[in-house]
Amino acid sequence: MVLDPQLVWNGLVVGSIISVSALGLTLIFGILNFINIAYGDYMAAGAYVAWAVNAQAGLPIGVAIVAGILVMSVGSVVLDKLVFQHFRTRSPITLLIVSIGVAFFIRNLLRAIWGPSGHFYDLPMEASPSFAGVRFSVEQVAIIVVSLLLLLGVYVMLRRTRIGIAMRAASDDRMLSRIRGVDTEKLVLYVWLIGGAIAGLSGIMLGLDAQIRPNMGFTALIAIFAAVILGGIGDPKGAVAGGYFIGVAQEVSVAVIPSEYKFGVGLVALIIGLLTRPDGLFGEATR
Amino acid sequence: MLLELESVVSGYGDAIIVHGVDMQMEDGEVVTIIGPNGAGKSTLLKTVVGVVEAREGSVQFNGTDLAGKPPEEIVEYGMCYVRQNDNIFPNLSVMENLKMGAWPAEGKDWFDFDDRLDEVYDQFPVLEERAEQRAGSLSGGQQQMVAMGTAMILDPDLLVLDEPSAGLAPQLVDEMFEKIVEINEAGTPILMVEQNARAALRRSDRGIVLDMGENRFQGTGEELLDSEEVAELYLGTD
Ligand SMILES: Nc1ncnc2c1ncn2[C@@H]1O[C@H](COP(=O)(O)OP(=O)(O)OP(=O)(O)O)[C@@H](O)[C@H]1O
Ligand SMILES: [Mg+2]
Repeated sequence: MVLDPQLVWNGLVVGSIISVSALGLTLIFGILNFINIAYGDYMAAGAYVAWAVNAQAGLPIGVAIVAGILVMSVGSVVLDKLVFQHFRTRSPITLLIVSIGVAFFIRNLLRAIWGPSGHFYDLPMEASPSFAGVRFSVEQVAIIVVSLLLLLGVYVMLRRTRIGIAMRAASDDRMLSRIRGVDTEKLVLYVWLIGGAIAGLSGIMLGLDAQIRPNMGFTALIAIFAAVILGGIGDPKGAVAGGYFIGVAQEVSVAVIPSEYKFGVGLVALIIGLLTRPDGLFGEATR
Repeated sequence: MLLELESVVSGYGDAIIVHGVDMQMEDGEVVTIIGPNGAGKSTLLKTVVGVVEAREGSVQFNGTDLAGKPPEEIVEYGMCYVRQNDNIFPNLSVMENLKMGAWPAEGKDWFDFDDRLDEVYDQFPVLEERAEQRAGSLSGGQQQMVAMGTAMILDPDLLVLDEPSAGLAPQLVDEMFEKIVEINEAGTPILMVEQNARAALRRSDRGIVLDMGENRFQGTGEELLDSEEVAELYLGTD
């Protein structure tokens, strides 16, 4: 089978978005040790805030993107203080269930404010150039480039900065990091700021690539979870690799299965991943 | 007095494990806690370093009562703890582990990481060779060195070790005890729990026998080694 380059390109765009969101989710999981089901709805909220600033208030898309990121960054901290913090010592299952509640709340809040129908960003019209038989839009190129920059930035943070190394340490063993003197509540704050910002950005990218709807993030969750689990839960590098893999697999599958079923690819990858690589693509060794 | 416990009570949930333990330790000493499995030795150390909360009693360290303080605060008082198991960050490199050891002191003007690193490398040369390696990929003995080196980076006022020789090959056990003596002679007081009771007591200024969460005997290392009762009940025939 020859891969259609157009589908591979589309897959790289979708894969970028999945990678970035999977990275955000996995950072939060690493420190807080619970799966935040509301993450997809954080993404949607970021997309809507940017849309309100861009299409409703009429400001340029660049300003809107920054606004969406900042609101979700601070919003995640606020939600933590209001909700998750009170369940910090409870089991991961309790937190997971609480996050389902938060997810429904956000989704319905978005629906109540901006309605159930889809929206699009107000973008300057540009021709879609093509190269080597692949048609691509400016937004798609931007999504790929921004994703790569963000992934690189987070990588450097985790490897080179004091806070980043402490995040990896706490993700390895939270109590041991406290024994070494780390105030993990402060780390939790940073991780929400960063994770929330990443959720906002990836939601906006999703809205740029498709359309903005209340359940856009929730729908994307399967693919994101598949990437996180395939990559080895809590392993940032694995989540990114998993994200690109799922994105490309999902889009390329369109050549052989009806496109309505393409989201099933994430689910299948998830199941195969769990059965064959329970420790993730790279096992424990590369975290 | 460096460390003074008074009627310390602690445990997990409804289970009280440590039932009112008293102990004192002078600056410069090596003190070893021995006792049967499940006696509460680890729990007592955890209570001293704040991992388990003291329910009653006081833990005076250099004149400050640490009871009730969390571990991230206690380490700032200069007490560094090496857990019995899982005492390194396996996915961090050796160097990153050492940096985590320096966490409370980073940016303080009295602290110079490179100076301390040199000293720790002198004590544990293997750490320098393996600095960039993932700590979890090292052998058990080397991981124990990483854990000790990480605790020593701060130049602690008290080093707290939970079974430093556990799981080591027999020839490494002696090496570990020599290291402990060396660290102590260089000026660091050590409070440790040990299953290798005879070997540990021989190198200790004082020993404490803990049984069922209470201290049964206290004395110099020699007194405990010479006591028939202690020998019969707690030292076995090694
Ligand atoms: N995290 C925990 N939660 C609940 N109970 C615990 C916990 N850790 C230890 N215990 C219990 O507390 C008691 C004392 O355990 P502790 O680890 O302090 O003993 P120890 O003297 O260090 O034993 P060992 O020589 O085996 O290391 C045991 O009955 C143990 O089952
Ligand atoms: Mg123990």
